[in-house]
Amino acid sequence: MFGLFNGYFSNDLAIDLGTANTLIWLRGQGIVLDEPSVVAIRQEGGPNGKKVIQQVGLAAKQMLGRTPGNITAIRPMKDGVIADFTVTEQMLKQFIKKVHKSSIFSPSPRIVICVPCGSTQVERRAIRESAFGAGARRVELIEEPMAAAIGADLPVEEATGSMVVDIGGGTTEVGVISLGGAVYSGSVRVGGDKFDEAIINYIRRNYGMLIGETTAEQIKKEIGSAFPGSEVREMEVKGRNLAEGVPRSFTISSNEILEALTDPLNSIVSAVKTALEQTPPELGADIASKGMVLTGGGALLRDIDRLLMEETGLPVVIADDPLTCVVRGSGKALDRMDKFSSIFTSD
Amino acid sequence: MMNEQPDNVQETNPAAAENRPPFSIGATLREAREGMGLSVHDVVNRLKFAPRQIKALEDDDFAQLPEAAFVRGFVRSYARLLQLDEAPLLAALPDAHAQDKTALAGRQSVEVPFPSVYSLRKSNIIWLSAALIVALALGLFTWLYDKEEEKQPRVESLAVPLAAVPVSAVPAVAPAATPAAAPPAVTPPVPAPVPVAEPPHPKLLPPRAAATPGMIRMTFDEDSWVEVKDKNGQVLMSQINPAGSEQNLNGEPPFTLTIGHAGGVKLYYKGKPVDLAPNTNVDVAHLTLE
Repeated sequence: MFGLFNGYFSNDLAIDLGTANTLIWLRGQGIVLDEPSVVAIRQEGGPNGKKVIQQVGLAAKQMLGRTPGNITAIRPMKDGVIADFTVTEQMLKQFIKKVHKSSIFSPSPRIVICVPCGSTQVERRAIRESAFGAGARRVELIEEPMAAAIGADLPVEEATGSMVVDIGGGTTEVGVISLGGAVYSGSVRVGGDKFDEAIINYIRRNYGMLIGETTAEQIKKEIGSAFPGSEVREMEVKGRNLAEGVPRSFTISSNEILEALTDPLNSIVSAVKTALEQTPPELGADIASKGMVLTGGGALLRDIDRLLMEETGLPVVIADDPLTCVVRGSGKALDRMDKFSSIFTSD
Repeated sequence: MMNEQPDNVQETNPAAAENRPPFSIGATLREAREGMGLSVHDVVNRLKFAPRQIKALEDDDFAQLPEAAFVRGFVRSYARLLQLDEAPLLAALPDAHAQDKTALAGRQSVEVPFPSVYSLRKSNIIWLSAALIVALALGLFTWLYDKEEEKQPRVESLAVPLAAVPVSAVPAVAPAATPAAAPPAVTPPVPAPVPVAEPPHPKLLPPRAAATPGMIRMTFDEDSWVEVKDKNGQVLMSQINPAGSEQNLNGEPPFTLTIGHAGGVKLYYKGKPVDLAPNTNVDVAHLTLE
């Protein structure tokens, strides 16, 4: 009864609980939060010192790799699923608190959260539980390809095949959607994080330099590309020389990054090809004439559409504002929660 | 979708022309392409869209193109290929395409649940249980009715004499009534005791009076326990009879009777009163009628 009562005081939320970023969409207001999924936890001094959440989101991300001994900045999500249950729950709670200004009543909203389509039941249960733990009144899960397709304004309810490739921080989701349901959905645990990792490994191997995740991400954003372009860009990078043990700077070119990213990009290409192989011919024909849509942060990697176009021979387009597609799609699904209950996953 | 039907091309073109801002996306793209010396074929090779789609875009013929989301992506890729600024081009896209209303608009569906085996069975169960309830109600009603009837067990079987009772008082019709009552009753003078019994219990006695044709007739002035056995030792009656009631019994003589409260019971055998006093011990009479 109190839950029902509280419902009037709290707006419903759609959350894209991503490996890299968490986005929150508030009914009637749109996207109200877009922060990195990072939590900084401080260990209080003394023998019985308790753990305190120091920062969440952007402020915590700036601490990544720069923390003293008593603070740990951690990313509680890994490969699209929860790696640290308690911390995820706390992070979610903090984020919800940030977007809910109501102070008299503790918020107990209805929440739609998206999950990777390849996640196991246990992983989904963990996400659901953490949302309940963060104070949700009701939790619905939606698979990421479906949310991304709705967010990209694809005609999901039509009797026509729409293919969406959502390259997120932890996973790449490929979905073929028709008549409001997923005809095919696949997920590979390759995403932005794997790109960063590949860059770190490449630089260590070829330059004997150690760089942090944040630097790797910066390199990827500035000069990363998925297809050899006409212009070669360069960037000065600073890291620690493994042999000398002192910080050094060096210059790296976009062609080298392209080489570094070959492996994870190949995984994505093969996931897309597998999806196309598994797609019924009629829907395949629709996709061939309209193209597939890229969403997620990975779609911002330079020329990734070109790579997929060349590899598949199909048109590839990038959605508007690819970073927020999933959360906008979840928000649209939330708006029509009662009418489109079938698009939510049951387990 | 409207834009998938070639029939609509004629209609949508003028409309698109009206809404079109001064600058045309198609023309801009075509100029830029020709400026770069690219053929449509080069663009096809690069963007993988069909030549007809590229021509349609350059002609601003959006009816030939897929849904808005794809068109926006198409324009963006094309603009990037031609090294144009994509923002003004995207902004110039017609509104009908900018907001695809079909996404999640909800299809008009019939929403009729498919008649599965389960649902059939379910409706069967409903009918069955309804029938069961009706049957139960009927059974209960009959049972209750019977129970009420039990208080006057003979009334039903003697419906005809019952109708004749008031008549029996009228001499003219009496003969007609008597034959009807005659077969079970051996003795014709049965009506005789009726007036006797009548005064004390006018309500109860008339039907009893009609039931006279018994070999043994007992009228009770007091509550009395009576047991009657026939020749074979079969119990014809074994019960407490309330004061004011009357019992008629038929069977094969000799009858063995045990009558409690003998003082309050009048016994008639074959129409003749039987004196219980000689057979009475204390208050209970034991006697045999032959």
